[in-house]
Amino acid sequence: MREFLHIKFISMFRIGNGLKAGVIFMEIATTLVFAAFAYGAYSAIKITITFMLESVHLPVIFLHSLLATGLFALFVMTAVGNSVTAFSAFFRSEELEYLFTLPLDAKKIFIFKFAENFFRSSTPMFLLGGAALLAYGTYFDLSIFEYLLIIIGIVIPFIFTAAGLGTLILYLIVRISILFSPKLIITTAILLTLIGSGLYFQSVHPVDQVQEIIKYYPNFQDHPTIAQAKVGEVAFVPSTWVASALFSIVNGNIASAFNNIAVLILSCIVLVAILYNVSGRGYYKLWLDTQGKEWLIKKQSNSTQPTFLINLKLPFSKRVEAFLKRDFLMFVRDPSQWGHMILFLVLLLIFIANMSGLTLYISDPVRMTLLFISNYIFGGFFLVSLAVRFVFPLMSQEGQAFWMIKSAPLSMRFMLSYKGIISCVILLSIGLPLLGITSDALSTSKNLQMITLTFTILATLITTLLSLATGAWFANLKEKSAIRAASSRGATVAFLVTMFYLVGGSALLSVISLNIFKLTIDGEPYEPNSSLFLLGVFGIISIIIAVLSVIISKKALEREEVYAR
Amino acid sequence: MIKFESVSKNYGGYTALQNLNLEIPAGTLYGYLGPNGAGKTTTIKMLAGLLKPSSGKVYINNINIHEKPLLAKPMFGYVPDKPYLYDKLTADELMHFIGGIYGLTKEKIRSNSEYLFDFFGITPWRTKLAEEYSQGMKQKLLIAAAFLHEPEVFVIDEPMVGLDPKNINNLKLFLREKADSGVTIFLSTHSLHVAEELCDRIGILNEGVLIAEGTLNELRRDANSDGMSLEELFLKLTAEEKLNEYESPMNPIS
Repeated sequence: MREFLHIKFISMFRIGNGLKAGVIFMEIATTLVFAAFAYGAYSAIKITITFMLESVHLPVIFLHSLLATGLFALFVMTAVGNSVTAFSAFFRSEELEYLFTLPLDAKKIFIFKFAENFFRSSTPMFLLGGAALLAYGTYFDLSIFEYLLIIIGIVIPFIFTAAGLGTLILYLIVRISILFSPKLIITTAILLTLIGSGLYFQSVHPVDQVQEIIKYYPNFQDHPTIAQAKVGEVAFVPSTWVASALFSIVNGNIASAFNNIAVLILSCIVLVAILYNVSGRGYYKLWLDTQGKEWLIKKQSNSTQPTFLINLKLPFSKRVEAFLKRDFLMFVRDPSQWGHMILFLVLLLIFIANMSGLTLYISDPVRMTLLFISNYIFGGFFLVSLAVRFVFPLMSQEGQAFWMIKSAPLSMRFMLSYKGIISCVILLSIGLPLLGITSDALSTSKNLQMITLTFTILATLITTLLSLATGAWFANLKEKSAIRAASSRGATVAFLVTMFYLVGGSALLSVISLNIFKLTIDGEPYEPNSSLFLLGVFGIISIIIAVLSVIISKKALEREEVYAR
Repeated sequence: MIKFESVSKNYGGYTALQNLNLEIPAGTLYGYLGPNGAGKTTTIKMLAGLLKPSSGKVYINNINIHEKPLLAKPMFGYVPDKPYLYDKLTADELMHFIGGIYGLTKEKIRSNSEYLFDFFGITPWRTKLAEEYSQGMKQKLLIAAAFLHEPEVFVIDEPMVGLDPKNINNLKLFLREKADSGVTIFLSTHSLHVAEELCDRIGILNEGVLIAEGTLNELRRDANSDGMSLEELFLKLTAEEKLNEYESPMNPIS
């Protein structure tokens, strides 16, 4: 096992074909992007905490109540994310076919795969988590001991519990699927996750909390109940233990924090012990069963061919029609693709439903701008997540059959245009209704809506092009799973670069919206010149990024070491 | 017609192919042989437009494939050494996809598919997903797909890989018939008996250099090796040592 870990370690850091200038440049650029993102996240979180506690004068416990809600979302995302990627890691990886021929204990293989899957798919989480912890720590002036206590006693057990729980659920799903229909089990698991999350948010209801804050601002001392986090109803959730422990630490009540830390560590140990024992008892056997089961399912199936689709005439050229049909069929036949898309759309519907129920009690242009921009950044974050998940892997998804495309009479310009246009249209068809509904909920003026619309169209185009370009550059044609491709280091770079662009754009938009909100409240007429200038700046930056993205995409497709193997 | 004009390919400091000059007339079934790492797949990938030569030019029917790929590519069909295809598509869907890319009408796709599926015994599998196919079935489907648009030039790397004896025989008949009807076929193989039986001309590549080229009789004559089989000739020309002369440290010859 030691030798195996050694080989893995070497292959992780070894650069193929020697040190080329392009490779070194990309490594440096990637490091810079990561570092800049970490610093940006650190600054943004510190400013937000300072703003909430010193400008809005929110009670510290309310900050931790919101933190508990955010951590719950992180917990679910980590658990679900690990669960989804674990399927490839534990049952689909071709490496396993080799590992199981070696005299290695299945328990060790399981634990190794768990760790590999966890660290491989969690880079953005570590980056964001580290930056958030540093921002939180510097604001509350934590000591080295307190940092260590938080990292060892809180952060590590928390994320391991989430990842372990996700893996255990996946393991159980696969085990039960051997006996029953996999589709039924997966659907039940998704439904249970949604119901659990729904119940949590029913108890906590962050929108109610925000409404209360807006309603009673700034006289919180007259309404003491507002400061009470609704921890009682959700005390069994690890995110609540984390928030409570952090609240105790920043209040100097270490003894009280130890209660929650003990529960966290204990739950983590119990979970890891269960995983270790469960895997030891039957991982190899289960892996064998899945191989056999998969073969049986395939041989017994009478694959039905949607002949109507093949014969359907679409109003496009023969080539575009051929690609559209191929991509549609491959998408609907990959449960991880449509399953994730449905999950994204459900989250979107929940957000829209909450936004449309939000009643604003504010008439201060600064806070109106803050709400408007927060909403815009959330929408941007959602679009970027969609783009990284579905657009970034597009080139990798061509897979090892890409030789068919490359040896066919097709220009790479056609390929890029096709993928770019389709992706952009899909993202716009999700992004624009999201923007429309939330703008309506925030009662923005027609002028602001038109400007935001222009920003959104440009931002969606750039998000698509950036995801496509980075996806082409970091393509891994051997990676069959779109989810794993979308959680690679290249995908993280795509996510960070696009978020930089969107946050920059949002900063420009905030200047415009502040001006418009001020004029609207003061009843003065709107003067579009200043907005047009900022819109022009955003447009020029977007065009430059678009051109660079296209150049990178074309250069990427010329890389023989990736696309001619 | 296929033509290589002073074609070389370097990977960094390593030369995979050195100054290849070769012209293959229409209707020729050409066997391209060589030991592992000789540069065969590199040559084929340049011919298929997947790799760019470091120097020199590659022509298909007098069109430079790297300068005018959209004109040259419709003229040829290609099958690589590993039969990768789209696992989530059926054979029928793959044929419609390929046909769409080559701009064929639906009627043409249907009629050509019927013929090719029948010939290669794919018909019972045509509505099943490719992930269910054996390696041989995938290979047959790819060969069928490569002939869907009726190419004038056909390039294949290791044609017999994964095929059973019956299918090998079928494929040999198919390739011979196509060559006789004017299709230029360029195949790379390690199966020397197939090359000996099937090919009109043979080229032998060693360490990136074309060391022999011609009909089998011409090769024998040039090597002063009358009566030798292709295998013996190949071993002589590539100066490979025979396995039984090898002293293995695991099982020393006493």
